[in-house]
Amino acid sequence: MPDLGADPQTSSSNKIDSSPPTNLHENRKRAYDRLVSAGYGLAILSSYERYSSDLFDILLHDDGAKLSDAMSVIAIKSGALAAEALPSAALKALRLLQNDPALFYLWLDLMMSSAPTVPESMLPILLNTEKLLTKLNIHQLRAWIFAGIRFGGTDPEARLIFFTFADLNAQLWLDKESGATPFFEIKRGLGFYINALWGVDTQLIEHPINLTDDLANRTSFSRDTLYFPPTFPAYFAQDPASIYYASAAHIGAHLRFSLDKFPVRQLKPLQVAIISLIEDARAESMAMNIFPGLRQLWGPFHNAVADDVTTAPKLFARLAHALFDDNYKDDNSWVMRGRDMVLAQRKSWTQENSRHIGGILANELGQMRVQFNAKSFIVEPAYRDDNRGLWEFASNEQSPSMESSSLDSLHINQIEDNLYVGPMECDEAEDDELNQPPVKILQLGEPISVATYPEYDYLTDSERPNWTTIIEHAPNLGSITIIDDTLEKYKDVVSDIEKLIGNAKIGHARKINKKYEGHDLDIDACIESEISRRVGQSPDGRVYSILERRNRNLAVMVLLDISESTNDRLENSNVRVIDVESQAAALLAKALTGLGDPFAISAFCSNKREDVRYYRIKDFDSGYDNHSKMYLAGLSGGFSTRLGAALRHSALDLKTQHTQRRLILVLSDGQPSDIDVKDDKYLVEDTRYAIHGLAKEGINVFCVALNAPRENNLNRIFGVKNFFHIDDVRTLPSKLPSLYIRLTS
Amino acid sequence: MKHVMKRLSEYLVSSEPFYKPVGSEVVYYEALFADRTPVILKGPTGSGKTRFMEYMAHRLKVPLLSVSCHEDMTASDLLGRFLLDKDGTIWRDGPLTLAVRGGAICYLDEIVEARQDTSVVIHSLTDHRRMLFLEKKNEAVTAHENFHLVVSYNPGYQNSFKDLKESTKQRFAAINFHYPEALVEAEIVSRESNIDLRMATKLVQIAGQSRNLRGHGLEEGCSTRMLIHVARLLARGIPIRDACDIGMISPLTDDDDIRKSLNASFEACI
Repeated sequence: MPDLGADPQTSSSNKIDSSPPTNLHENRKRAYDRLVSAGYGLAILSSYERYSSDLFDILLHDDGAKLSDAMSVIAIKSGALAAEALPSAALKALRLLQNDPALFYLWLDLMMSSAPTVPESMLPILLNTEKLLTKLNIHQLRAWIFAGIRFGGTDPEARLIFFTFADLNAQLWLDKESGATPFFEIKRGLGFYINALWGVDTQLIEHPINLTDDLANRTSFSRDTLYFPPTFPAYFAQDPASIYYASAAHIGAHLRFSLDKFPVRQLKPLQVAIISLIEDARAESMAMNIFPGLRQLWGPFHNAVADDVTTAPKLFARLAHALFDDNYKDDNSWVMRGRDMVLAQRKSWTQENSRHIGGILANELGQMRVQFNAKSFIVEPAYRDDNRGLWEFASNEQSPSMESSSLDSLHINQIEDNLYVGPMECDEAEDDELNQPPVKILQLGEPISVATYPEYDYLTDSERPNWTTIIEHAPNLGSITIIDDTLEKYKDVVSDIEKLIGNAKIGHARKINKKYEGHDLDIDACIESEISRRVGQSPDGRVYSILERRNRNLAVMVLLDISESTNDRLENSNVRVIDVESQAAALLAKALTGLGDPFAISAFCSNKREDVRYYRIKDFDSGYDNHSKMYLAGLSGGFSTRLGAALRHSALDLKTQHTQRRLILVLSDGQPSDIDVKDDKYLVEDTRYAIHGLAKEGINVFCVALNAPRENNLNRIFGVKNFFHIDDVRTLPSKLPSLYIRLTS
Repeated sequence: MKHVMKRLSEYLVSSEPFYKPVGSEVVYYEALFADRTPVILKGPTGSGKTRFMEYMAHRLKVPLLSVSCHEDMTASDLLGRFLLDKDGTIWRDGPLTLAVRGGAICYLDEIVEARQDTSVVIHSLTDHRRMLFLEKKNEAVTAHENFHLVVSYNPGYQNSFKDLKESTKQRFAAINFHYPEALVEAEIVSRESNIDLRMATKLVQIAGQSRNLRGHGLEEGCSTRMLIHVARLLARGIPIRDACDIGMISPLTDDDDIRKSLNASFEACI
C-alpha cells in the first residue's frame, strides 16, 4: 500500500500541523485505485507511487484526482511511456514553479490539453520539463507548444522533430518566448551599429553552433565578417539585445586595435587562451579610451567574484574582471599578478605585450597545476568572441573554417536532379521538404530540340534556312545560399538600387508647358498670348500646363553568355567570370522585381550549329522565386558563343510581351564564335544581321561587355550606343543594376 | 540704372556673419572673384556654403542675390518676365538679370535641382562674353564689372539622375566644402550655440558616427548645421540623449533599426 501522504494518526512530530483531513486520504486512495483498475500496467503504477508522495508533501490539499486524470488522458492518447514520465515531470514542474499549486495545476492542465493535439510529442515535452520551465513561464510554455503545433502542422513526424529539439526552430522559439532576441531580428540594426561606431563595413553571418547548451554560444570573426549564433540567451531581461551590441562592439574593437594576428606556432591551448584574454582586455581598454560609454555596455557581463573555486575557467573570468575594472578586488595571487603586470605597462600596451604577459601567466598557471580542458573551454564573459579571429594558423593546421559560406571561396554546389534547401531560407518549400534528405522532386526530362533558325552568310548575302537548332536544357540547381550571400555582400548596392527604383518608378511628375489643355495655366504663355492680342496678332491658344508622370513600359530579356571563356578566373582569385555574372544577374533581378518591369532570364552556349544550348532560368510568366535563384547559382560555363541564334530564340519570348519597349540585355564578352566556323567574320556578321532584324520588329539589343579583347567587334555588332564595356569584371554586380536603370529611364 | 542699384542695395550683407575658414577657401574665392571666374561650391548640405557666400559678400562689399533652384524653375524665373498692368506690359528683371546689370554676386543654390534647359541660360555669362541674352525683350545685357556667378551643389550618389551638363561644368572652377575637421567643427558648434568646448567636442564625435553611415543606410550624415541644433538644445537644458534624437537622429531617418543602432552607438560616447 503506497504512502498516500501523512496519516493523521502517525504524523511525525517535525511535520507542521496542517495534516490532511481524513477524507483526503480516502480520495487519494480512490484516485490510485482508478489507475489500478484501468489496467495501465505496473510501470505506470510504480511511477505514480514513487513520486506522488513527494507531490502530496508539497500539495497538501491535493486529492490526487487531477494527477490521476492527467495520467489517464496521457496514457490513452500518448501511450505508456509518456504516462510513466508524467509523475516525475510533475514533481520537477512543481519545484520549478516555486511550489505554487495554482501554477502547477495550470501546467498539469496544459499537459492534459496538449495530449490530444500532439499525442506523439508528449513524451519529449515531459522529458524536457526542466529545460522548458527553467526558461519559460506557463504562458510562454503554452506559446512554445503552439509554435511547435504550427511548425509541424498535421504531421506527427514533423511535430516530433520540433519537440525533440531536432530542429533549430524549437530552440529559437524557446529563446524567443523566453524573451531572448534571435539574431535574424537584430542583424540589420547590428550592421548599422558596428558601422556607426567603428566606421567599418562588415558582413554579419549567422552560424549555427551549440544547440544543446545555448549558454555556450559565442561570436566569432575573421577579416571583415562577423559570425553570430542564431540566438543568445537573454542575459538581462530588461535588455535582451544588449549581448549583441556588446559582442559587436567588442569585435569592432579587435578590428580596430588587434591588427596583427598572433601566429600559433608551438603554443599550447592554455597559452593561446590566456594571451587572447589579455588581448581582449587591451582592445577593450583602448576602445574605452575613445568611447567611455562602452564601459556601461560591457560592465554588467563581468560578474565573476573571488571565491574558493579555482578552476581555470573561473580564474580566467576573475582575471578578465580584474583587468576590466580597476576597483575589483580579488584575493587570488595569480589574478592579482596578472593585473599588476598589465598595469605596469598600460601606458604603452601593445599586442606584443599581450603575448608576452599571456605567455608568462600561462606558464605560472601550468605550474600551479590548475587543470585546463581545452576542448570544453568557453570564453567568458559571454559577449566576447571565441578568439579565432586573433590567431593565424599555419597552412597545414586546421583552422576551423568559418568561410564555407563566404563568397571568396565560391564553390557552387551542383547537385544534379536534387533539391537543396538551406535551413530556414526557402519560403516556398513545403514543411516536409525542410526536414528530409534531398529528394528527386523535379522531373527533369531530356534536353529537347525546340526550334531552328536561319543564319546569315555575309559572303552570299543571304540566309541559310533552318541552319541552327536550339536545344533547351534544364538548368542545374545550385545552392540558394550563394545568391542570398550575394545580396548580403552587396547590401549597399541593394539599397542604392532601391533608391534608384524609387526615383525611376514614380517618375517624378514633370510640368509640360504650352499645352492646349491642362490643369494649370502656364503663366508665361498666358502673358505672351495677351501680348500678341494687344499687338494685334492672333494669340497662341496653348496657355495650359500639365503634370506628366512617366510610366515605365518595357519588358527585358536578360541573356547570359555561359561559354567556356566564362570559366576564366579573375586575377588573384578563385572567382570565375560566370560567378560574377550570376551575382550580377541576381542583383539585377532584384532591381527588376522592384521596378515591376516584366523580365526573363536565360543563358546560352553552343556546341556547333546543331546544338545551341538554351537554359531558361526565369520565364516572363513565372515569378522570380527560389527556383530561379537556384538555377542562377547552378550556372557553369562551357562550349562556344553562337550569339545570333540565341538572340533570335530569346526574342520569341520577348515578343509575347506587349510593352512599348522591348529590350534584350546581353551579358557577354561579345565575341561570337563556334568550333564549326573557321571564318571569324561569319558569326560576327550574322549577329549584326540578327540584331538589325530584331530592331525592325521593335526589339532593342544592348550588350554589357565583359572581358572583351582590345580589338573587338562590339561596335560593329551592336552599334556604338548599344554596348557598355566593363573593364573590371569584379565591378559588374555593383554597376549592372544602375546601368540598367539609367538605360531605361 | 538707379532703380537697379536701389533694388540691389537691399541685398548687401551689412553685418559680418560668423564664418570660420575650414581651409583656404577664402583665399581661393578672393582670387577667383578678382578674375570673375565662375565658381561652383561643392559639398554636402549644411557644410557652410551659404554662410560662406554671405561672409564673402560682406568682405567684398558686394550685394548677394541667392536663388534656391528647383525643378519647376523656368528660365523666366531667372531672367525675368513681362508682367501685365492696366496700361500694357512691363518687364521685370529676374534675380540673375538684376545681378548682371547692377553688379552683384548671383548665387544659384542647388543648381542641379533645376532642369538642364533652365540652367543653360548661364552659358553666355560664363565665358568671355559675359553677356546675358533676354530673348523676349530682344536685349543683350553686358555684365557689370562686379557681377560674379556662383553656383552650389551636393555631389552624392542620390543625384545620379541629376547632374550638371559637361559643357556647363567646363565653365566653372570648383571649391570643395566638407565638414570641418573635428577641432574646428567643435569650435564652430561651441560658438554658435554657447555650450562649452568640451561638450561640443563630444557632439562632434557623435556626429562622426552618423557620418560613418553615409551611403550605408543614411543618405547623409549629420551636418554641421544639425550639430548646432543639438548643441542649442543642450544649452536650453534638454538632456543629451533626447537632444541627439531630436536634433540628429529623427530628422535623418525613419528607419527604426537605424534609429536604435545610432542611439546605441551614441551611448558609447556618453
